Amino acid sequence: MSSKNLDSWREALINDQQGKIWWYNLQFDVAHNNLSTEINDLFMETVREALEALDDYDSPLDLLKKTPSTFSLQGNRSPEVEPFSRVMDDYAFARFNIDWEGLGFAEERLEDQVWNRFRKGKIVPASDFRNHMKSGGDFFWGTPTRQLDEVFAKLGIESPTLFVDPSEKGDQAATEIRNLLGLSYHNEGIGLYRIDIPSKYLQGVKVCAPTTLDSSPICVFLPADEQTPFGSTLHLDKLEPGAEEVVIGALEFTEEYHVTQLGFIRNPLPDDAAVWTALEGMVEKRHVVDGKSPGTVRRSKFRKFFGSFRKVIKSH
Amino acid sequence: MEKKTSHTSQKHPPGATDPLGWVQCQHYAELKRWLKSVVWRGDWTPLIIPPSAVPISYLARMLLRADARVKTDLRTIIPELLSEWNTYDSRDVLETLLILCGDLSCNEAEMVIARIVVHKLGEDDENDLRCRSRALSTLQSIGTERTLNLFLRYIGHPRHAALCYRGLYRLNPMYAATEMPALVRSYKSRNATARLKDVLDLLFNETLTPPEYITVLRPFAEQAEPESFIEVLELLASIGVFGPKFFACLSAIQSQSVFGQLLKRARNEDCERIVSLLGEMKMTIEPPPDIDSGGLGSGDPIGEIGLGEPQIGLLGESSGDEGFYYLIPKGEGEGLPKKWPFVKSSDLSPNKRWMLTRSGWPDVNYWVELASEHVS
Repeated sequence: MSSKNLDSWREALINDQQGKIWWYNLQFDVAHNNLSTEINDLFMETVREALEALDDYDSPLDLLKKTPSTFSLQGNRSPEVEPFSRVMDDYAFARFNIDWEGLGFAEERLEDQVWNRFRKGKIVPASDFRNHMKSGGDFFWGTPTRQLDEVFAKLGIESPTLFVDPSEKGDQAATEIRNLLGLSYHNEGIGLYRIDIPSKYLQGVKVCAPTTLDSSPICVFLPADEQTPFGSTLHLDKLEPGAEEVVIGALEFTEEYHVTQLGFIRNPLPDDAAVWTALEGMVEKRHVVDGKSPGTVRRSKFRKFFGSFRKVIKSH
Repeated sequence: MEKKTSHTSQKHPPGATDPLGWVQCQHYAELKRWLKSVVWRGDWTPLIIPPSAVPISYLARMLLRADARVKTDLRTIIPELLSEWNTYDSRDVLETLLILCGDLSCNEAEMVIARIVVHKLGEDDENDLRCRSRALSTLQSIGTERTLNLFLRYIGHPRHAALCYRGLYRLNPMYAATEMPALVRSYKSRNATARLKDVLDLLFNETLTPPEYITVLRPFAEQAEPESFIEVLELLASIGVFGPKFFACLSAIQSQSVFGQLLKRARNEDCERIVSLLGEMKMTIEPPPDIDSGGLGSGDPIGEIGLGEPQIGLLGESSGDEGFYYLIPKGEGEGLPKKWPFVKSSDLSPNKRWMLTRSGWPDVNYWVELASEHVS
């Protein structure tokens, strides 16, 4: 019964465009040793247990949200230490990494108050920077600093700088970086900060190529392979691989970080359908292994693990 | 038995590609149930959030883009959820609700938040202190006169002082003046002068206009302790408040009043600092063209004397003769007596250059005392 439930779930997953992308990326991770088979097996066991506990589910993607944080930061590929950066939206940066308490700021439009104060040079890192670099879990997504430096160079922005001037150029930088990093949830009007991490803070901290288990079904992302220790974003404008990316364990945020206020995103997000169709094409194309689709490869391991050989699974 | 799935006819599950659209389709009860699930359990089902997003940022931005109907519902739902929070629940839950409250202007939550702040949060635990600060920050946005007592209650706490001070004067500008002396004492006692500067910068440079500065500075000058008075003036000078743009907004009488208080409150040991303060405002002294030079010895120079020169002491207001200004010579006992003529305030030039006056009194302490005695 368990393997049938998993089979049904997998079939349902692959029947969904985002689910298929996610599943194929996971198979790619395992096939290319981005992720250990032990972790993958543990993950599938978690999914199986979740399935057994459910009477029903509306979407196979629901099961992917029920996995614990133990599956994050499990990638096997770690790049050489080099400067990395993170891009944060103004809302989160103001509330979690600035001492709004010591400054006495009101909650409403806190991001604007911090933005304006930053632009006037009145945010003092030594006294105003707070807390940690992390997102929902104890890690965050980053990119090599050189990737952002390339955008700056292309726009003629000198670095390092406190903020980009004139503001129109800052807005341009924010928009281009949003597209480069595949930040598909950052709409027009959101302000962005670039945060450069001192290399010394990365000593002893896990930095690795993201795997599918770090991502989610709505993450526009391509796993690493033997050619590179980095994952890749999807460039939202060009609909091709964008920036190299990593996931980094949570870090203390101190005055030694260099923060640049970019600007406000000025273009709307691209058409959703176009993004997913482009990503689906890339994922399918890169996942052909030895003339077989990755689905077949993975399904063989799948069946072996669960000991069910009665059903022949048709390849796509 | 194979599990059934209730597939929809959509290619994607609800909310996967249009989370806001899904939220806007939820009626009150469903919206509340879903929001409670997100905040208490981190379960966003059926929505999926990007893994690189900071959850509260993603949630707040989405809800802020919702239509009026959803926002109206949320302005009741969130206060209800706050009422359901108790001390055994996670502080992260409370903080998330407080942030949403402030962002969405959930005015109905004012009293609930006040009760939480006073009765449900401890005084020592770091998480409780952080939540109390977050609550006070939210109350700055949604609070009314009913919140005044809360700000007054916590303004003495080092973690909450800045929030409470700003909350008070945003509700009633009078508090900017009345609470400043205690605020200054509090920051000085903690050697937190740098942070005090930020707090005052927010008040003067981002809330008040230059013509309004005097409404705060005059009562402050009347109430401040001498040891902190000059220090605060120096802080205000360093952020461009006590300076040319301040004096440019003052009438001659108001300027007299300011300098009068300066003399009245300052101590003898503050002489050099006041000279330095005025010097940084580029106040130089010129003798007036019709100066009464009676009593000057021959050969006595009459010329431009800058405030930075060692013979210059304090500015003050003379006794008896209204509107007269004189400089008090520092240094005493040398070549005395010196006779310095007086100048009337009507001789002041429009650019606020103070006229040099001289008098024959030799002793600076005596001068200060005399000035204090006669300043109204």
